[in-house]
Amino acid sequence: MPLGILTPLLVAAALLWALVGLFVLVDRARYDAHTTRLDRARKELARTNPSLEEHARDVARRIGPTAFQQLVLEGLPHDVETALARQVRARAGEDRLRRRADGSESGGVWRRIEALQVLASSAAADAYPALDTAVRSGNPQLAVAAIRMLTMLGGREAAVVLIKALRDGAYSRARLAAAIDRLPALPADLLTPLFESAEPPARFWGARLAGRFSAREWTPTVRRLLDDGSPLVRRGAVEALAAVGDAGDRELLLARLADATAFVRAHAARALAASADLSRAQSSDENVAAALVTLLADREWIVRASARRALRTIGKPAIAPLVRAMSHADRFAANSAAEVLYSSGAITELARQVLVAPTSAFEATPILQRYMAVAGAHLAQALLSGFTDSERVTLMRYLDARTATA
Amino acid sequence: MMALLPALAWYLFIACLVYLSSIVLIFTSMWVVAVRENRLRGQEGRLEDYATLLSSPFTVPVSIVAPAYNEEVCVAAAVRSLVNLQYPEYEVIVVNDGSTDGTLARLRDEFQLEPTGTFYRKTLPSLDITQIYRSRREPRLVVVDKNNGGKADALNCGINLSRYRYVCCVDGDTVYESDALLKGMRLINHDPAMAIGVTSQISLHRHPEQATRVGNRMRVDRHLLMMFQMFDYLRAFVASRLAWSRGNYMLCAVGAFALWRRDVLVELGGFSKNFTCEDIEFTFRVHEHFRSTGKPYRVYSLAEPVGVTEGPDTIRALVSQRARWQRVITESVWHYRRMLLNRKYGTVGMIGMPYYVLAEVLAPVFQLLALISIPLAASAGLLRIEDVVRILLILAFGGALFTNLALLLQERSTRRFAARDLPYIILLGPFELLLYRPVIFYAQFKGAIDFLRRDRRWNKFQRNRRK
Repeated sequence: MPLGILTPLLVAAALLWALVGLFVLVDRARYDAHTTRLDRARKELARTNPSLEEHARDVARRIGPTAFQQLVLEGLPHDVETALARQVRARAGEDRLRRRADGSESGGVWRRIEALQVLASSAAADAYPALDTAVRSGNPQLAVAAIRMLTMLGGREAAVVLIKALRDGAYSRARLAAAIDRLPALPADLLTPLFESAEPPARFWGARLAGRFSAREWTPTVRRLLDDGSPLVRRGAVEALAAVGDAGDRELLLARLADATAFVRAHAARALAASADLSRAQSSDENVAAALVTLLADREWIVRASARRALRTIGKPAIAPLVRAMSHADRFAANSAAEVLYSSGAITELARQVLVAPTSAFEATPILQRYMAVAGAHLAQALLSGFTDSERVTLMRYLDARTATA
Repeated sequence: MMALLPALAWYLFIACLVYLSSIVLIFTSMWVVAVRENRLRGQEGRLEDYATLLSSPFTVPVSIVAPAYNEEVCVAAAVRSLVNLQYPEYEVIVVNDGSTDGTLARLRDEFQLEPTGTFYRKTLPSLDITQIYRSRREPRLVVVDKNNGGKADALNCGINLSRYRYVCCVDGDTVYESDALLKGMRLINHDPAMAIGVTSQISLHRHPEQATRVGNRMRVDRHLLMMFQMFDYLRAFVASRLAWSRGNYMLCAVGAFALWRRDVLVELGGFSKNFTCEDIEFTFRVHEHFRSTGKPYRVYSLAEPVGVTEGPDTIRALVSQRARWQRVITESVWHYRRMLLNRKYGTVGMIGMPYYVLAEVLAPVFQLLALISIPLAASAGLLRIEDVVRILLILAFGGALFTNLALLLQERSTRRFAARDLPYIILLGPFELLLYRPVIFYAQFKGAIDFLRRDRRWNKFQRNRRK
């Protein structure tokens, strides 16, 4: 057997083990030293100093775009970041940096991101076309970095790039919308490309962003989108209208409870709950609640669940329609009504009334009896668990007696 | 007969050598692929704008489902870590799977639970619910009490109650880092159309609720058994699984942290009770479904650790756990054997499945052959005792080398461990073969036998003793 190879193999394995182990330790020591140096640079830059530019020049001599990016990612005051970026940019060579940022000079994705960071942090006007190209590059790393930089820049130009990318679906639309949502302000006119787009997802996001930024200039458009051919757009419009609509729009939202698409009905229920105003006339909310109660018997589970949550949010004005709903022929609807009445505390309150004054609680008793009949074992148990043993016995005895009398 | 002995020893020895060389080759190739994936994900993570994801109402919401069975000692810490996660919109559904200890009482006291009733859709099969509780303290928390039906049944029950498009399946004995969900959902938020599943790395500790840190770095639990298990985890999560993730043949989304798109869970019928463990089998099923239907998809494994789970601190408990793992791997590979070397299943059939067969299913067989062939070769005069020692040392340093390589990757992406723990990790590496591998060999062998005996018991290990 050729066993002569064992010794060299053993030496190689042990040596490799030792070398990699040593490399791990040295690498960590180097990293810690590098971090300390960067920390020192950050502290130096953060010090109140009348000659920030001079300071930045001094630090820029010691760091390149890579270390600059690391400093930015770990956090620098805005003025310091701008001053340092200008110095790094001057030292790295403007043209070279620009070429690298827009991808015309090869150097890999990460070099390109570093160059973009320097351009973006120095608030250079030529940063925006480069960032736009990066968002649309199809490279996820480049796009993520560019979106972050645009969010950081936050001005009108950044918003324009993000919105156009959102319209064109240049990257994950939800992620682009999240970046736009983070902008300190969004001039309403910038949403025009989204509303004018032929693509439903663009119109959907246009409506949602109009709602988020309370852009009432777009309210008439949002109302119109309630009748859009795409259910996605109708869903966005329903959500937005809860934010940018007025009292008159409740009727439009109520009409959407009968939408052909389940998730539009579900979102309309949520929107109605969000727009419920308890300071206004209770009757208005009662009408909404009555409409929502009908959804408890919807054929789609998602709509029933949404209606249940909406009724819970509306609270007191929903009680009367919910009590009526406990007699609904659909047992799911009756059970859901019982659940909302329990979770809103209304049923517990009625039970207390019965315990305190059983003879005068004429209205409460049949409601409680109905509740016990339709709630099911879990909900009935949930109600009773809120009382002491003796209260429970009294309550049940009274309810049974009334049932017998009836 | 005596003449046959040297020949038999020789052939067995050669077979083991060929097997070992293939394993080394596979691990080395995987490490090379993992280097690139690790660098990419690490850089991406650093570039990510977590503040935006955290504050946006457009960030994809998640339902967390945490099954708990007899987790009295650590369930409160685990659930506390879940309700304190940093994420814009999520719910936590804890499913008490008929615990016989004080799990439910602990939850009731800690989170001021009150009974409620919720009408829910039984989309996936699961046993009946006894009661549903809501927390007066944590509006995000729902606790479900149900009859004992096993982890798969509890997960299905939680999925039935979940509201959001993504479901994060977690364990009731794991303490999660506050940014676990943000990290996990990062790739999904960027590509919700393609990303249907994400899993991530988990760290180990005897008592996860007591894990300590130095700044943002974790102190390792220096208990020997814990350290060796951590080596296993390092090699598996950082080296192998990153390579699997890159090639989109991630065949094991860990039970302690697996994010799945809800429609996929429902379409595939949820977690199966017909296997010992639900996590590996479901991952196999997902790949099988998407590859056979030709739908584009991605299942990712991330390099970042998202939490600390409890590792067994006795040999008995470790054997019980690892035997179960071996059994479920073998069960899954056997059940999905049609994918093996089948080009229709792409990288899953051509790389993932052969890897599982070679490195996992056949491991106890070849370890047993090695155990037989080496003394046989020595008794036949083919090997001297010095040669045996040299072979063992090569294996010890070779194994430790792979641990160091995995550690290097971890260092390059997250620098997870405190600096003072690094020399300890490195120096302990070569002792793994002697002090730990025999236990794992026994566990794997037991698992293989249990598979042949069609044993399907969970064999949950006893929780570590608390001071």
